[in-house]
Amino acid sequence: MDAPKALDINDLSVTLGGKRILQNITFSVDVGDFLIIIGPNGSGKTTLIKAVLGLVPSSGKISIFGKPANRVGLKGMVGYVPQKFEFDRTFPITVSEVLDIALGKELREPLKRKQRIGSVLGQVGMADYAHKKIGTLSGGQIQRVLIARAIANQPKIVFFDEPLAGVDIKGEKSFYELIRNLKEAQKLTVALISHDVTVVNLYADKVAALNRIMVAFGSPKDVLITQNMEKAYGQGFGIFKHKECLEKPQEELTQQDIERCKLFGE
Amino acid sequence: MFEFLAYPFMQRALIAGTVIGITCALIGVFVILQKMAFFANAIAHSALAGIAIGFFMGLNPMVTAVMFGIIIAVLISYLKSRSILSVDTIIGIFLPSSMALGVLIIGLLEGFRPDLISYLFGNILAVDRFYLYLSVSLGIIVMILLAVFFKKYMFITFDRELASIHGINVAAYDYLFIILLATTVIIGTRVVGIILISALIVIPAASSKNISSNFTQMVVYSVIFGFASSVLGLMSSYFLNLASGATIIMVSGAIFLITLILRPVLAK
Repeated sequence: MDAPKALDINDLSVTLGGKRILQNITFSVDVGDFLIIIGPNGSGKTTLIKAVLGLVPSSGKISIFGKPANRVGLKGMVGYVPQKFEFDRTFPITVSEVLDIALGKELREPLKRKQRIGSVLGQVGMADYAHKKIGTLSGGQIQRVLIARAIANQPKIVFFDEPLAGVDIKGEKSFYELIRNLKEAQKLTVALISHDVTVVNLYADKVAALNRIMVAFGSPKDVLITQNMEKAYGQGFGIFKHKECLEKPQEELTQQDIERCKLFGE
Repeated sequence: MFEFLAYPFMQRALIAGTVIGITCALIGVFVILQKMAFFANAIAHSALAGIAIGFFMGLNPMVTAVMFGIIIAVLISYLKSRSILSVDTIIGIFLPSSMALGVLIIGLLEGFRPDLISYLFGNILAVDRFYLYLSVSLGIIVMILLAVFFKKYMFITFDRELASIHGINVAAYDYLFIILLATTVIIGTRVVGIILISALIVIPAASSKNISSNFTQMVVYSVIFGFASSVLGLMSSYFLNLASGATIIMVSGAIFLITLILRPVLAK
């Protein structure tokens, strides 16, 4: 018998307020894969993740590591970093408390809970902020705390909904490096929504191009072709060489430029 | 100085006042963080109809008020999740409607009912043994349930979406919370009255929020302030011959003012 897929979605459809948001979505992701979900605004990317997490009603079959993806089934198995985390900044809660409430009951001893919190905060470079009120942190720092919270329970799969909105290039790079390390060290499966098509070739094992239906699914090489991109984003969408790759001398290219130029074999 | 403690009415008032003060302060933390102060106010005002129903049907008015308050709280919550109307609109409908129902039923009662006035403004010195047992037992049940589900309510209050993903049945805990809140608010009306009860819920928690640097601190300070307001308020009202409910609220207000002044020093 085949090992269960990390994420298996079969004929998923979502209708909200009488409007069909997603239709007949079918795909599966292997254990340890890095899935990036792309598509234009309003294509249903966030709805797809919310449906998987049971936050919006859906039809079809969703299973995570062979278990039905209902609230009870998901318990302790998934991590989630939302697109926008809106909260009352005057809420008197520390970073440490934010992580503690999300930690499962399996870790009962207070010392072990404290150690786990310290460890995940260290992984995201926020170890010194454990006793700070979360409302006093910057947007980028809060994002890192949310990532720490998502991995605190040592989940098997983590869903990121555009986690890099408002994060600078340096932060973006360190984020992807962190995720790559976690993925390798813990055999973590990652599903990430991104607006930035350029990151796909660098990090993704699988790509899902959505536009209410599944436009294309597969390896970056197979999905990122003009025909698929036009289907997802509309006519006129093309894959262009970066200005830096064409105009800058090789020695003047920054690491960021080099990485971008590597895309599509530039 | 403490000879007043020899009076049975004062002993009952102190025990009931302390339990109500602490319970209101504890639940108040979640009320203000979930921005439910107006909701608590609506439940308090529904108490008038509940009390009037009790008098009209010859039942204990506190018991009918608790039951009626829970029904109104559940109805508001249910409509909040099903209606296109905003929660303040829904409360804006239920608050005056239940008050109006209370006034109508009072109008049907025969003769002048001075005891109804004590429900409007509270009269803790007049509490009987039945109310004492009712308030202490319900107050302790509310405190135990809040303590048992403390982390879950903390999680739901801070991040409902993730709490739901983590397998917490948020809707069920919401309903339990509003039942606990309705119970606390209604039994508290005997202490400070229908008009002032929401202050006993909101002010200790708000004072605590002024100076707390974490959630645990907020809960602990709120409970201390609730306890202090009840005891100091009751003692002051005895020695200064003032209305007990209003004095408790004034003490609570004074604590809020002090924490507001100390906020720049104490809140980190």
